[in-house]
Amino acid sequence: MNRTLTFVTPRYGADVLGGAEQGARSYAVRMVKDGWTVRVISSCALDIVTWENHYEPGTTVEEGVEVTRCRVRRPRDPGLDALSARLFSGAGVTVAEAYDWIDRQGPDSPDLLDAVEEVRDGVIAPYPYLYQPTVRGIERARVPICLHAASHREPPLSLPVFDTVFGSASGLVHGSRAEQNLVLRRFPTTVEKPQVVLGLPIEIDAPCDADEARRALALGDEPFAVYLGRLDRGKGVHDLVERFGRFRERRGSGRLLLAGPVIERPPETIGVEVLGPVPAEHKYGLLAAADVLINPSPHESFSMVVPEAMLVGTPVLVNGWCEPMREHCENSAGGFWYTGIADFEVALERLLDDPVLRADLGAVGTAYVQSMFSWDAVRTRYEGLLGRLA
Amino acid sequence: MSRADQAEGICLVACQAVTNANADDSQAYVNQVRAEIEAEAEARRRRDPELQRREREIERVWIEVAPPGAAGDQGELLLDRADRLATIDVDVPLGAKPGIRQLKGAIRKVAYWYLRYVSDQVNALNNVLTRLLRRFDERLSVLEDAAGIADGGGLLDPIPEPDGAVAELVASILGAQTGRTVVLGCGSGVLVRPLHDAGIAVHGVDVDALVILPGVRDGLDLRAVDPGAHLAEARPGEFGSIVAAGFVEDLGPASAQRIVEQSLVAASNGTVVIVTGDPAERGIVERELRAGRGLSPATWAYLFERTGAAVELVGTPDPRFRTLVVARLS
Repeated sequence: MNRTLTFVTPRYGADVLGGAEQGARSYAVRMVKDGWTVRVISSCALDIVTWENHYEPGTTVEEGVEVTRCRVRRPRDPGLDALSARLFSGAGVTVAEAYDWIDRQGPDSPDLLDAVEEVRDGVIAPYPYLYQPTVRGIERARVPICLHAASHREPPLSLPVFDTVFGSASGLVHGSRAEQNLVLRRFPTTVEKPQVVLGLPIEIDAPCDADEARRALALGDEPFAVYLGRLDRGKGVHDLVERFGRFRERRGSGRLLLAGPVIERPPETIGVEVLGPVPAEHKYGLLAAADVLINPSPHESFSMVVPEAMLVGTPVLVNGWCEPMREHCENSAGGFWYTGIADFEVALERLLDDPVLRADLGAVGTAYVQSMFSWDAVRTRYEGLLGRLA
Repeated sequence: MSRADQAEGICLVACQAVTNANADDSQAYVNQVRAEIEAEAEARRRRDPELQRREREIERVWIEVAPPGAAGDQGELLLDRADRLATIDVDVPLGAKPGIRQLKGAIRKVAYWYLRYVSDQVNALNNVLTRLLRRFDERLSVLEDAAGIADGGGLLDPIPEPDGAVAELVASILGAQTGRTVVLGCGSGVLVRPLHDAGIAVHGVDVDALVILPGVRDGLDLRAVDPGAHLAEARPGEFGSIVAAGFVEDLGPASAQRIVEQSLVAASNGTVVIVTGDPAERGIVERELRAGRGLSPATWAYLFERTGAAVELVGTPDPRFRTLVVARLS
């Protein structure tokens, strides 16, 4: 088997925030250590909103991975939102309109597509499905394609270009059984392709000291619930803040910390504190110090932070409308989910008030992540698929 | 402390906790807590109409944005089965000549296209039906409120559960029965407990999440599910025996007949026990407020005898439930 793998991602780097990009890096670095030749073809962008060129173009070696970054030709089209509103209003969308939307969304980088075409060995792994590098890159690829779609229920999935994208993939990697079901429903012919429900490797790769995190982040000694991720309406953060505000008003106590880069600041609410971005060295400490991690996001194909919290022994409370996160809770018994208001409040009360319950959930959650998402477990599944494609 | 030590420490804590608690126990405990959360959430919804309204709004929004077939296991089951039925494996040796192989591939693609078309249609229909049902339910509630006939509206006390002697009697009747037993309208689990203690595989269902809570806390397998729907969705022969109580006293003749027919499917060759009071012995208030609902043990016996079942009426010491109907299906 040719042990060469080329990831194609919109952005790449240790400082890039984003589940798919972090996922790609997570695989890339580990595969190199296991003797694979791993390349990454990406853009020079760091910011997903503007796609402004941030990194120098060219090829570098980072953590053993050969990274080629290409310039972005133009920033994201400011009229994209208006175009999206029209395209996703339910009226029919032509293939040409769909390609136009993809190009306007960006990152628009012809150099990146040229680089994809120049790959002559191994397997190409585009990650995720939604952006131009994947959509147009797949058309130009000359080697087998292992698509890490990271797809979830969102309007663009209905665009007709993605029939070609998923149809052209030689094999598929899914983050969860729920994602696989979604893809099978949307693209039924993919059932005949080699595929695997892989998830992501989840391991503690930074210090995990709750006391140190409390000190460094000035968290105080009071118990708290935490959200960790982009502070963005699309991630359900505003919904969470509203719920929590109501919860606290009724209960008279409670503290929610919002950690992560602020894309859209939620309204000021009593009991809710915005921590902003958290240094990587305190991420696991913060999770371990929390009584519960809440993830209100409605759209996740895997959600790294949920198994990460489980791994450090912190129970989770997740948006039950998001099937992959609910799947984590159902499979592990390491957390609860909510779909309404009443069950959110009752579950959160139980989690905050019952340390024995928290310990039990934490223990089974940790065991689940170790058995399902240790690198050994994930690598075995991943190499099995790549072996069939290479 | 090094990272490896920390990871190992966490691993040890986890392993120790799992070992101590036992994975099955943990799962049962978490299930119990989930049931408690759902029961308490349901209680809050009942107390707060505004909460109910907001939750319905959330649900409505999700239904609007979810693609057809996004929710529910039934659709997936249908797709899975259809997939298996329709798959033509191009790799099987039969007809492996190049032309035939391509033909098989083409047939498979057409089959998939057709399946997708059919499943989209079915899902779209399901969505429309769900929305219609919801509107129908809302309309019916308005009419019931206007006519003042809304299901008792809390005017009546809940139907009491039988006493322990009846439960022991039911357990002794079903003691030799093989297969799983379900108790429809289980309440707090009075009828489930002796069966469970006798080592019989049994679970109970009741529409009221609050009522089942004491039993769930007591370690019984009780589920907050509508008993009628649970029976209707059962696979043929899924149960060795069925016990029906509580909710049966609110059924009219047509609904009772449906329970009999569905029992014949779900417990073919099994035993059905109906635990019900006699409407003729109701007090004046209950008689009037529950008018037209509930059948006597004799009528239940008649309905089962018409299907060819061997029916026996068994007396009990409980004055509320004087006679059990025991139907042995064949």
